[in-house]
Amino acid sequence: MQLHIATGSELPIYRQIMRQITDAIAGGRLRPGDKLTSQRDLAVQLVISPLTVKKAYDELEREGLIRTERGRGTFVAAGAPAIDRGEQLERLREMARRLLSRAHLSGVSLPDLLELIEEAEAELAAEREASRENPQPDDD
Amino acid sequence: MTLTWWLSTIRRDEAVRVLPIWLVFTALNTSALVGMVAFRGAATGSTEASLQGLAMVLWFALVAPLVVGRFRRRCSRLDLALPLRSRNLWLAHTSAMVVAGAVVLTASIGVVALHSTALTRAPYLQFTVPGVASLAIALLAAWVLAAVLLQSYRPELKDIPGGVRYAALLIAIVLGVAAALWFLVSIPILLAIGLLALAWAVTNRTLRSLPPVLSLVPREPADHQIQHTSSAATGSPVTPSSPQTDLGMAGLVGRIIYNAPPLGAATSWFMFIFLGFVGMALSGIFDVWMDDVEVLRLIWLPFGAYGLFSLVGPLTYRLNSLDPLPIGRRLIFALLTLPALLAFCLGYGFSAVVKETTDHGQNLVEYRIEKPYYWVDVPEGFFEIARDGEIPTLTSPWGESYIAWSAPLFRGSPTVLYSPFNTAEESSADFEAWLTSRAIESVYGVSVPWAEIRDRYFEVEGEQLAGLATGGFTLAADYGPLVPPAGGPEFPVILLLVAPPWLLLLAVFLRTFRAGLGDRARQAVFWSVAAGLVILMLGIAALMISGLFSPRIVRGFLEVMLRQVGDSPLQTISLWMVSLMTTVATYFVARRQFLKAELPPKATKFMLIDWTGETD
Amino acid sequence: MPIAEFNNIHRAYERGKNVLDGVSFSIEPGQVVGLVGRNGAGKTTLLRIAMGMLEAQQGSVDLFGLDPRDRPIEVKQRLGYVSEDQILSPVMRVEAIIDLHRSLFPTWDEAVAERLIDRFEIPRRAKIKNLSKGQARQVALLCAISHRPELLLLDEPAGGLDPAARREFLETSIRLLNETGSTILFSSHYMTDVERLADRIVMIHDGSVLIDTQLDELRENYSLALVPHETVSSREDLLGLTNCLGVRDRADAFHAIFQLEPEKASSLLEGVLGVRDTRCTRIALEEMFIELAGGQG
Repeated sequence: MQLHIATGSELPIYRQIMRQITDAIAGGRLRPGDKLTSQRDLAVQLVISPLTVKKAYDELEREGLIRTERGRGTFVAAGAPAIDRGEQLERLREMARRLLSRAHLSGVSLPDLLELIEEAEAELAAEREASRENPQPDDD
Repeated sequence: MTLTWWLSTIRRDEAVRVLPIWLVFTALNTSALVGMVAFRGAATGSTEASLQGLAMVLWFALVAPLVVGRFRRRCSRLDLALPLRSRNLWLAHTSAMVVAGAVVLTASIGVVALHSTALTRAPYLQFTVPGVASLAIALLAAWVLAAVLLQSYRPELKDIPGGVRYAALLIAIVLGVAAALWFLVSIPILLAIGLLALAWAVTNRTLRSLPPVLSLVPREPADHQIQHTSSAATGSPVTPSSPQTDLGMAGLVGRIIYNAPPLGAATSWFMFIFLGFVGMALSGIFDVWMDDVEVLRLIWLPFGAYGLFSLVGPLTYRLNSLDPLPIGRRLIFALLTLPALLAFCLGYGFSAVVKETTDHGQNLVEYRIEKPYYWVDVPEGFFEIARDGEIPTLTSPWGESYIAWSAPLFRGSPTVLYSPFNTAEESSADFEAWLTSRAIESVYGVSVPWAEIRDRYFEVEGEQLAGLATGGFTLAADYGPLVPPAGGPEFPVILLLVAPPWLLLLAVFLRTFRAGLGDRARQAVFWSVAAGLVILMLGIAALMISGLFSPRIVRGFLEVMLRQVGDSPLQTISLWMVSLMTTVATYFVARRQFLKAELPPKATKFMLIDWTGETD
Repeated sequence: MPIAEFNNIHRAYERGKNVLDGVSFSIEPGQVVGLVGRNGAGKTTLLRIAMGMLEAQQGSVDLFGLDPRDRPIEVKQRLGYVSEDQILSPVMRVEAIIDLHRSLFPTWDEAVAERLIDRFEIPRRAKIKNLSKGQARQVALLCAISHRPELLLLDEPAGGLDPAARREFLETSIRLLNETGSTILFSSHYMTDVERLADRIVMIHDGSVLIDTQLDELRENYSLALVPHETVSSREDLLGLTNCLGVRDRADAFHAIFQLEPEKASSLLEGVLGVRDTRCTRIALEEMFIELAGGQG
């Protein structure tokens, strides 16, 4: 799993890590049972404080996306993530607003935009399909 | 280059910027040197002013700051960054040195003039105006040559690199020019022309060899850099070669203190040697060469404290690399003060031993005849003290008597020192012999019948002494070996007069290293203490010049006292105890201040000696 | 119990001009605190006071429950210190300096030192003055951490280093944190370094602590509001608001920093001053620093 963080961003580093891991899980690049880079290694790899990594992992674990097995490591959790649906919808609404204003500025109408979303959904599904047939080994 | 540039560059030059301090030092130096010349003149009974002597005084007063001064920096880093030709920078710096030297020279001639017209007015300091003027020209020319020669060493660099070679060059230049002055001072104008011509030639040569820009550092790399990079690559595990002991640690800490850049170990050695020299001077060893050494010793007593203070004080500016480490301040303070004190004591001890051995060869009792005077010559240390001023009459067994010669301790003092061996012109030869016999017994503890002395050494005409027998006064050969008695415990007195004042003044200086006190306060205290001690020195000299007291009598008085103390073991031990305990107590006083001190993280620009390096 | 505690520290170099004017904060074990502030804000002074090298004229410092001025040796043996000013003696060889430190720190761990020497490729026989700035700093760091200090005080440790050397320095610090979970107090002008290493920042401004917060909170709970000039009469109106930390009068608008989330800042402005639809955004550390510490120009 490749992570990349940007300093000087308005988004805290632990959020950047959380978002990237969440995206990887959603995109199927990380699947249930996959082992995550250990906190210490990730800290050295990203050159950030181990405390920051710990905070990100703790948050992800609280959301049910990953679980830590003492002495073995951290793994992507099996089953549906137990994320608060209301909060998720709120986040999506925000993203939708941004998407819409962008589309409005570019002169793209709502039906065209919906069509675009459907195309992207198809691409993601194909990706998921491909990675299921051809499992990627974990980076570490 | 405009005139403005030249003027402003010269004004910014380190040589000119240290002028105020340099001037103070030169005034003091010149005074001290003139004082010595005056005493030398008095001792030799010379009545003529010596241009050679004056030339040496002025020359050494002028070059003294070269040893510690900041003439090595040819320009600032800023100058290097500006579009300036190296030739102009070099000329500007050399000119600045010449200008500063001219100012200093003028000042020291002023001091000499003050002495010769107002303060000392000794005949051997009476110079003619044309004589001094032409001497000044020769000295200025000599200074120009010295400056040019010094600046011609590694002229391609921004800073003259210090080190052994530089030190050797410096000494060679100072002594070489001094020799030229000594031998050729009788033809000052010709000498000046010669020196200037030489300076001109050297300047031309140097300017031709100058690259277009000056370099920050030498082009050739330092050797160790290449040599050792390989050891890392092999990564050989190093056996901890090292000092697990406290002693080893103290050694490393000492190295950090005494090996600090940029002057490095050399300055520290200079300091220790110098303090050893002060200790030697205070032991009186130099009476081997100089008759009037007591003068030096008395003047140098404050100098002991001064030397220790002025050399140890600035070391506090070298401690910033030790401060973050868990090293006890007590250890650092010990490393800061004890080596210096030890150097002083070793210098003293060494020459005391040397003196002890050379004294054996000397005749302490002499019979001198310089017609019309005859006298038994015994060091003042074997005189006696009359506290109430009542000098006993010396009476021989046959009733001949004389009231001994005496001198007050200081003008108007009731206490007098008298010689119990003195005779008058009209004394009989028997009386002279009797007193000589007494002197021998008093000094060596050897009893020689007076009649034997009269028969063996004196030529007698009637009752009176006509002269010494042809064999001379060969006392040691005839009655030897004659072992003079050990002197009294002098060292505890010297120690008491040097170490406690030094430590107390150090405590005052260290008290300024506190929150809320700026560097200005520190500088003010440092310089006032240093100047105060120098002024005390000059004050003693002035009192001697004014005739308030004679160093010989004071020394004799002390020696008699110490001899008395030395005769009693109890008193000797008490004197040692007082001296050592006072020293230890003041050590703790100073250390207490050091324990509380905040060490300055950076050096300061006010110091004459640049202990810490670049202040660009 | 805090590992370090600064209590109302005052310190002046010249009478009447306090560099530190009542600084208080404490550090818990395991925290990595970034000390930020402008040049001359007193960061170095504060760290030197912590080292016991300077004395606080008022207030007290407590490291491991000890006063560094009273018990300098015990305190220093448990500390590591690296400063931007070169503090190693330049005429000494690397091995001699390591020898010295080994003899001074009872907890010295030769294995750590060896590993770092090899990793940094430091020539042992070289004198400090012949090393590059980055290498000299690495020696200083290795001396400061090989005894596994309980608290590491770093005064602008990466100052003057090139980006690669800075990154190397950070990596070493992070490895150290991984291994021992040290507590670190460091000052820096590189906000990106602060972001990477620190979990808490303390900002000193005008002699006292202006901000003391978790780094993440800083980005989530602080915001910058751009208030157009015509909507408020003066800076003071904004400064008068609770939670307003600073206002800069810029050409485009007043830039006000609030210790509030953007939405709350916006509603505060509307509620109290009646300014509507102010642009309020989250702000990165570097911007925050400039807005709070920068001049009015």
